[in-house]
Amino acid sequence: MACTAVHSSSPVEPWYGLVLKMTADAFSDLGLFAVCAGLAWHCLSAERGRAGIGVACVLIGAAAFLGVFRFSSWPGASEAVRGAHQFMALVAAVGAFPILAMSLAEPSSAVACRLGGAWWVTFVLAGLGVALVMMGVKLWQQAVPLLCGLWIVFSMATRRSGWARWRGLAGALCLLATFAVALLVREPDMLVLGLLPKTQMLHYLLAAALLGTCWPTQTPASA
Amino acid sequence: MLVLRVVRVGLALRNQWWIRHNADMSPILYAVPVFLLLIAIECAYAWKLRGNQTPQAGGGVRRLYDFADTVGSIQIGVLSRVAVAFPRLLTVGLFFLVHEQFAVAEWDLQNPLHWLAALVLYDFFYYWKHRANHEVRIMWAGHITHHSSEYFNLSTALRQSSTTFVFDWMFYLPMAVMGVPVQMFVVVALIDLLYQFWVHTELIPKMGWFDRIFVSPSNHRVHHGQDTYCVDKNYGGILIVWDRIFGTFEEERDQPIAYGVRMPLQSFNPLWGNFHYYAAIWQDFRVAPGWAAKLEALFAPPSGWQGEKLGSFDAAAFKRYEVDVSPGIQRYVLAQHVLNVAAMCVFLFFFKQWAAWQGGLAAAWIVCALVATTALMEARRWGWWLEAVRWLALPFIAVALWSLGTA
Repeated sequence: MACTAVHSSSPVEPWYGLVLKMTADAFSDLGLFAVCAGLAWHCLSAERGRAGIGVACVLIGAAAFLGVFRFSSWPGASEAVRGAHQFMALVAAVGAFPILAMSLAEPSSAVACRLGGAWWVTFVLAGLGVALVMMGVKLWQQAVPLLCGLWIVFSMATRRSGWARWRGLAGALCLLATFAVALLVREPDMLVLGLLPKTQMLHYLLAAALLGTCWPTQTPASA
Repeated sequence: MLVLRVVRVGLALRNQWWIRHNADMSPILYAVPVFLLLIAIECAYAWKLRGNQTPQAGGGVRRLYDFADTVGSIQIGVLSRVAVAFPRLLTVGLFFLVHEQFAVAEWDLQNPLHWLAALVLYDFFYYWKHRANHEVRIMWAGHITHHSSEYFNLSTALRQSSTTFVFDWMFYLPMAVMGVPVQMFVVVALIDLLYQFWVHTELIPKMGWFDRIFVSPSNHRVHHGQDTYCVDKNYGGILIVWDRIFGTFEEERDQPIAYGVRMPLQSFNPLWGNFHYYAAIWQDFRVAPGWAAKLEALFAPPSGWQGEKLGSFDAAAFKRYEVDVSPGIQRYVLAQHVLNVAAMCVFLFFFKQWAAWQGGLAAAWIVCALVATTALMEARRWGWWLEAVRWLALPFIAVALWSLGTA
């Protein structure tokens, strides 16, 4: 109703009007998008050699960006991007998490360092994942991120040292918690641990996981 | 289990009305006589105009048309049509399923502007698909078939891969999410494919302003060249502007181009033509230490990350793969070649009525015919044995196809 009133009184929506119509779910996706954008910007900058993480962040960030529109109460926005958001979430699940896990496990490999290698591996994995899910292998969408999460925990524990290891492990555990929430909590509005609704908890946990595991570290990972 | 599921979904999709509709159209089937006629006209024109000769890279002259190469190209094209008849149901079906579940809008089939937008959009994704086919080893393994001819004429256009379908469909999924209907997608894909036929010729010179906007024979000659300046250039399907935008455009220079690839096929066998690069990748994959190196064997560019594997090219030293085929063998091969094309047309016409095993049986017979025919061109003795076996098997296969019931 409020949307209609605003539209009828003012043909041009002021920017703060749009912000005011963002729901808490949309804000949580905005937070995830900001984290992904920052990490992607850093990782894909020249000479960083962290293309794999950058590509993963771009895909997760794209899904989060669409999520901001989907979860806002902007007129027509939710329905307009629903399909695109669901598709990007699927692509991120079956394509972004594997390249993230590979890049953290073997940071000096061509797949992790080179944009071409990272992008095409992700592309093919995402394509095959979409095909399997479309053909009814729904479990793929949950199993791939979960296995990647376990791989990342292993990588953080074995390939890092000092403070970077603890930060990485905390991030990896956040990632596992994200998948646990996604799998175990059915209703999107249900409070998780009495703290936040499922959707928001997923987004904040994933943002924390990415910050913990992908934040640049001074301790070089072993080649 | 997974394979069975994939097959089951493919067969279920076969019954969708839009698939049946599309199969009934069989547009490629109707295009075949036109393609063959145009090839004959170009060949005759090449003889009349230039005595079938053109300047060669590195000096001298060379033939525009070669009997064995032309037959080999068309045989590879026949194999590709037969091979992709099976997975096409699945790959177009995936587009349909993604569209059904994720489409953000519904495009209007009655609106010409929507059709135009869909064609431009398809051409954009085609550019990236084509570029990936050249810059990623596992995709190049399929696409190299198209580039393996060392001649450049209309028959080269028919030299299509039987395996690129594995990855090609992925590139167009964004169109499904954008809401392009599957009927619109199939038609614009066909337009894009048919457009590319005429650009495979040496007889049409530069075309001025047309060369700057559209893919033209001049642009595409560069794309098929193995001279260093030609490698990985001009990927466009209909519009060359994508290459200009993304920095892969190269204008044709005033010197003869050496066509083909740096890793020459040296065979007319259509199966080897389709799988020889996969064999090379498998060798690298097998010896690569660790999963990261194995992934690199699959996904690195064919010329290496820094172009280090490309090497230098000496146009003067370049020698084409040629075999001496006696006139008698030539006549026999030509007759078999015509029958093979006819067999492909029968296959495409009846494919939708056959059960899967019948389609497989027919396809296997056609593959045997193609391999045997090309083996004769290479003077291989086992080619005659294969010829004998496949002709002896023909009556039994005919009974299986038309007397044992259909799908």
